[in-house]
Amino acid sequence: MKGEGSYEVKLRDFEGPLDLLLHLIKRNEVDIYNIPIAQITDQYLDHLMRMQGLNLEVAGEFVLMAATLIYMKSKMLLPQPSSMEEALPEDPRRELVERLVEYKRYKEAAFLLERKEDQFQQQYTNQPQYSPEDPPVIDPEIDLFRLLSVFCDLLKKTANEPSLIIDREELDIHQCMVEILDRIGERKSLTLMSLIEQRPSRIQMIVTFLALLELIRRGVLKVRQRHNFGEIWIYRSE
Amino acid sequence: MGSEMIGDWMNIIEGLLFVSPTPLTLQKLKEILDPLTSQEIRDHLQSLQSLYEERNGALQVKEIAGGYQFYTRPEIAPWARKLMESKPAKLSRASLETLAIIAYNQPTSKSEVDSVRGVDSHKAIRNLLEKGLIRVIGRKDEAGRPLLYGTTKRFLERFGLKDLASLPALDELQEMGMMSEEG
Repeated sequence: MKGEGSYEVKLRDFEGPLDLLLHLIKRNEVDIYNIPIAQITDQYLDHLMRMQGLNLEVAGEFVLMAATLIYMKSKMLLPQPSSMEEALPEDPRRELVERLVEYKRYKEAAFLLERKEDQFQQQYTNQPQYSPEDPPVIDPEIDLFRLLSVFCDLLKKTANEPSLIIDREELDIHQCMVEILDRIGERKSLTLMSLIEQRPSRIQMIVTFLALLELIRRGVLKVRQRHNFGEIWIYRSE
Repeated sequence: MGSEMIGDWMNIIEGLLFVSPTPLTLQKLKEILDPLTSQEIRDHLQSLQSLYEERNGALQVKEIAGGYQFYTRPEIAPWARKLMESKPAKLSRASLETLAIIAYNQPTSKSEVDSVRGVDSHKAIRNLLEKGLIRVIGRKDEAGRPLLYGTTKRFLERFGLKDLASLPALDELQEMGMMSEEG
């Protein structure tokens, strides 16, 4: 074992507590089937502290493993009842070791897959054999999920295209009537032009006009035109 | 049937392989080359493969994802790469681990993947589904009826595998020791 000060773990991403543990086991060159729990636990906790020190979020799985390790450490420190010799007491590390060994297998398998992919990518065919960005039109293995994701892509694509769909504005004549009255407010009069000009869309102009007609019908407003083709003035009825 | 005829069949198969956009399966070849038996087609494919091997040129006939397809030899890669440019995004370690667990244990559920990895694999599974490397192949007959995942044909195509049986055996992996850790 190296001296206390010389121990150093480069911070990097670990896939999870098992990944971190495997890393520590390898670093310390210890046997996976005979893990020095005290030593590994200390280093594991140290690593967690560093993660927290860097404000990295320590996922729940890491904390849970820390608790498991501390529990094992304490259990192994307890004296074994040596007098009564029946079956050997079960090694508290056993379950963890099994998990580590299994995880290690798949970690290696993942590495091998990656290497296979790299090797295979050295060989090209005249047609793209796959393209994650651009799934083929005909996919014999299409399933619901695939369909959904294609649909989502489509939605994303079309979202950026100028669409010809005209949104229908919900315009309320009564709301518009209130607005006209507000506009006139303390003022005595208002020209029809100034009322209509501020309306950005044709439909809004129409609704404003209808609201005006309604107000006139109800006798709230009056309109007057001084001469042909002249300005139309809107007055509040006294 | 003279040797010329055999040569003809082989030429036809060669042409079909050249034209096909995906690995050409034996089944498909049999449909197209009606009077030929599977064994005869296999023999022609074999001859074609060795012909290309002997020629030692740029091309090879490979058996991928249950079919046959032309590929360039690895030696061409540096130049081919310049031509093709786009390379599929590399899979993350989480995705690769998840993919490995599913590939070797299929059909398998998310909770089984989680328990091997010791972390939640939700994101990795989503990513693999989106890339079309795994798919839902059923539901497990237990409480909650969890979804079961398996690998796709695209998985075989991406990793250059003939079929699932040509995945390296897990026991062999163990003997190779820990290769994945950096030094």
